[in-house]
This record gives sequence, structure tokens and C-alpha cells, in this order.
Amino acid sequence: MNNLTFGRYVPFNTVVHRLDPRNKILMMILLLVSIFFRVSTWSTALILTGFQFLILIGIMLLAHVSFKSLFKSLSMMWILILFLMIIYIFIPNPAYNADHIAFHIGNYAVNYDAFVQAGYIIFRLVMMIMITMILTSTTKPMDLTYALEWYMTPLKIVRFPSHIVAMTLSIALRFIPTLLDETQRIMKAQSSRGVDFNHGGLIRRVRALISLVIPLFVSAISRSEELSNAMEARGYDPYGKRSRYRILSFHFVDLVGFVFVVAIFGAMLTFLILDKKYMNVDFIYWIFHAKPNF
Amino acid sequence: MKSVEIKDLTYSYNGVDPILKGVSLSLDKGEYVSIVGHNGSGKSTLAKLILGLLPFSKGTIIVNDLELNKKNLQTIRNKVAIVFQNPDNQFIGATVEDDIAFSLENMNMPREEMISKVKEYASKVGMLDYLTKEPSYLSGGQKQRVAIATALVRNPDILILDESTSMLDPNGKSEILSLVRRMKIENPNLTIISITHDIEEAYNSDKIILMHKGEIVLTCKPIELFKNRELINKYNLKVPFVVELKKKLQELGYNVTDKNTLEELGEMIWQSK
Ligand SMILES: Nc1ncnc2c1ncn2[C@@H]1O[C@H](COP(=O)(O)OP(=O)(O)O)[C@@H](O)[C@H]1O
Ligand SMILES: [Mg+2]
Repeated sequence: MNNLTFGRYVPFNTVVHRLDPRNKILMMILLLVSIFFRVSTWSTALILTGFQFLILIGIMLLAHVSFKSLFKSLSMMWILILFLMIIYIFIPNPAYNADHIAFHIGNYAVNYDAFVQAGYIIFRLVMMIMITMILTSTTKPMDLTYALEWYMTPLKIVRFPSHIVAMTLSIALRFIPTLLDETQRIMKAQSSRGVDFNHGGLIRRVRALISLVIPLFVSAISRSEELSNAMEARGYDPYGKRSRYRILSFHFVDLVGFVFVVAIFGAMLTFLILDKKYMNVDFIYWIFHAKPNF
Repeated sequence: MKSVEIKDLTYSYNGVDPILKGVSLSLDKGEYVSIVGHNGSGKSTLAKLILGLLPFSKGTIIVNDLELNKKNLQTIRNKVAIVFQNPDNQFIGATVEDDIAFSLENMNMPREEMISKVKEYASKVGMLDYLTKEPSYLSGGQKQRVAIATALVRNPDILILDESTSMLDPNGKSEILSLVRRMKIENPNLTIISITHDIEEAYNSDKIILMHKGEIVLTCKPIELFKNRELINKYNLKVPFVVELKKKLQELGYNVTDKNTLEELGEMIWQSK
């Protein structure tokens, strides 16, 4: 259950919370893309990524995003980190500088470049998690749905029913907690009938899971029938004219935030375009192997 | 003026087993009617038919002098509201205010008007402090109060309660019942059809309709139904406390024929030696 708290909406009333969700989605995409721009030299990369990292920390502080839950979600990433390390170490890359050998495993020479590359990508993954966390913990899921609906409006020209998709999405979101409760209830009910969800071999566990999934589906289907009755009874007509209670509005702060993010994006893009050499890690090699000559 | 008139309504889900068999009834404007009967007797099916949620071919349903058909469907739906049994399965919006607004959005009401209506009805059901709360933060009784607000905010002429209190604890139950009574006083023209297993509620309504296996077996004033021991035994009904008390007093030799409320009986008891 703990990992479900990752990125959950936390109701504070900060500037970041008040931003237009449409704007937030766009800004998030720009930041994510800019993080994955590659820059060439080690020092530029360190400076630029570090600069972005500091900005993200700043936004997290501003938006009261909990660092604790960030660490929690990172602690689940160690498998990924290990995996990346192994990939980078064992997949030979001709671009690595053959002089930068850290150590040998048998006959295989492990390059410093591998560690640097893996570290760099992990660092950027962490930043990616930070960005998504900032978005999801400062924006209500419902507002995200409204924003998505807004982005889908142009599709109306080709008769894409964006409002129906948005309604479906918002109902799905609304029922997640209800269905989680239901899952717990069914698990308890089945446990009391002797089903063991935590022990036993694969087959036993799959069987136990089936005893959970089938009643869950049955109840979800009967729920959906009642729900559609309730919606129809309250006059819902997906093709009829409906007014809107929630409206999204773009304020001055949105403009400020957007300009700021575009500036970051622009700066990264400039480096990407101007600077196309392979990243140089001489610097690391020097730390480990340079002999002080005094 | 008649509020609901049903003539010879027959319905079957699968085309084979009839669930309703020639049901006819007629309700006056502003009546509080209780429909009682065992599970599976077709009460919910009847409610859904009145709302036009199920297509029927045999019989007629007339609401507010309008016959229920494809053409009049939306007009009639705008005049009939329902509160179902399960509080979770009728909460559609993300928060209390969104849920109340959902009813209004469907009526294409201008936003400014919606905002004031949402506040007005939330305060009527005592949920003004919970406007921004999500359903998972609310108790069952609170959710049903919101459901009543979402029903009444559409300004219906007829409110159907389909076992709306049966999943609530005693507190939630009496909360909802007193809320409905208050709404009825505020708007005496509101016809209420309450499908219920709560015999005390049924006893306090204007009229009782007793259903059994898809048929209406009895329509009468509550007092008359509970006078009839034979019927009570035949349909295995529970008996309200007042009626039970009356019977006990009668056995003790008191004359209680014209006393029908707890107050009247109490009066009599303390005045006798
Ligand atoms: N959606 C459905 N499809 C098929 N049969 C149904 C459906 N809903 C109810 N029934 C059947 O119709 C009968 C009456 O149900 P219902 O109207 O819910 O009774 P009540 O509300 O009085 O308990 C029951 O026998 C039930 O099995
Ligand atoms: Mg029912």
C-alpha cells in the first residue's frame, strides 16, 4: 500500500498548486525533454544538470512536496540502478576512451566512462521522478483530467468524443479508492475462508489471486451498472449540451512560470545544438590516476 | 392532480419470466407513499421503469400528465429524482460540490447559477462544510445526504428513495429520514415514493403499497394494513411498535380503537389507574 502514496495529491495552497493544470502539463513535458538533452563535456553537463536539479529542489520546496516520499520512491529504484550499472559496464561502447580503464574483470576492461554514463542517466531519472512528483502532488487528478480534455479538444474536429473520454477517466479516478477498499474487503473475506495470499508456490498464489480477482470483477460490473443508472437518472446525456462547473483559467503566474520553463528549455536546446562532441570524462580519470608532481 | 399513474404495467428482463405482472397504481401530488415487500418482489424494477431506465412494452406510465415515451423521456426525467441504496455507486463527482454540480451540468445550467445552487443545496442537507471533500472522507450517511442534495437540486416533483437508508447505521438512517421529512415540509408538493423495509417509516407515510412477486397486493392507509392481522401473517410483515403496543393494551382490556400514535396511547396510559 505504501508505494501508492507516491505522488498522491497533497492539498496545500501554494503558487504551484494554483497554477493552471494545462500549463503544468506543458511545463512538465518541456522540463522532461530538456533533461534528456545530451550535452557534450562533462563539466557543462555537471553544471547544467546540477542547475536544473537545484531548480527542481527549489520548486519542491515551494510546492511543499515531501522529500520523504521522494526518497521512498527512490529507494525502490535500486534495482534499476544496479541494472543500469551492469548494462553500462558490460556492453562495450567504442566511444569510451580506451585509456580510462578503472579495473579488469578477468580479461574484460571496465571503463570509467561506464560509471559516469550510468551515474548521469540515473541522476536524470531521479530528476524525472521529481518532476512527475511535483506535477501529481500539486494537481488534483480531476484537474489533470480537465486539462487532458482541453488538449483533446482539437480532436473534436474528427469527431473524437473527448468529453466522453474525460468523463470516463474522471469516473475511473473517482472509483480507484472505492475499488481498493473493495479489494481489501474481498481479501479479508477470502482469507477468513482459508485462502492464503502470502505463502505457497506460484500455482497456489495464482489460485489465491483468482479468488480475489473474480469477485472483484463481478462487483465492479454490478457497480458500473448501478452507476450508469444513477448517471442517467440524473439526466446525463453524453451527446447532449452540458454546462461546466469547473473552469480552468490561465493567470499571470502561469505566464511567469511558463516563461521561466521555456527559458530553461531554450538554454538546454542551445547547448544541444551548439555542442555536439562526445562527453569527455578526462576529468574523472585525472582524479584517480594523476600523480601529483611535487 | 395526479403525480404518477401506472396502468397495467408488465415487465420482464429476459422476455420470459415476468418481474412485474400488470401493476397499476395512482399517486396524488404531494403524497408520501411507502412501497413495501420482500426482496425480489420487483420494487426497484418499478422505480427504474418510472425513471425510464428500462424499456417496457406493455402498459402505460404517466408522470405529471405526460406519458412516458421516447419523446417525453428527458422531460419526465427532469421531474423525477431517485436516491439509490448504495451510497458509493451514485457518487459521480470527485468531490461533494462536483457531485451536486453534475446534476446541474446535465441541465446545462449557467455556471454562476450552478455555484449558488450547489451552496444552497449543500447547506440544506448540512454538508456545506464538506464541499471540497472526496467521497472517501465521508460516512455513508453523509454520502446519502449528498445524494439527496443531488436529487433535489434538480427541483423534481417526485422523489424516489430506493432503500436509501438500508446500508446506513441507525444514526445515519434517522438523519436521512428526518432530512426527507424536513424537505417535505419545505416543499409540500413533492411526491415521495419510498421503497423501504423500515416498518416505522412506512407506518408514518400517507399510503402503503404492498408488493408481492411482481404484483401490487394492497394499497391502503398504513393504519388499515396493520389492523388486518391476516394480511400481516400472510405476507410475514413486521409490525410497528405502536401497533404492537395497541394490541398488548387491548389484551389487557383497554379501549384503544381510536388511538393511533404513541402520544395518544401514552396519554391514555397515564390517565388510567
Ligand atoms: N438487471 C437485471 N437483470 C435480470 N434480472 C433482474 C435484474 N434486476 C433485477 N432482476 C430480477 O428481478 C426481480 C425483482 O428485482 P428487484 O426489482 O430488484 O426487487 P426488489 O427491489 O423488490 O428487491 C428479482 O428476481 C431479480 O432477480
Ligand atoms: Mg430493490
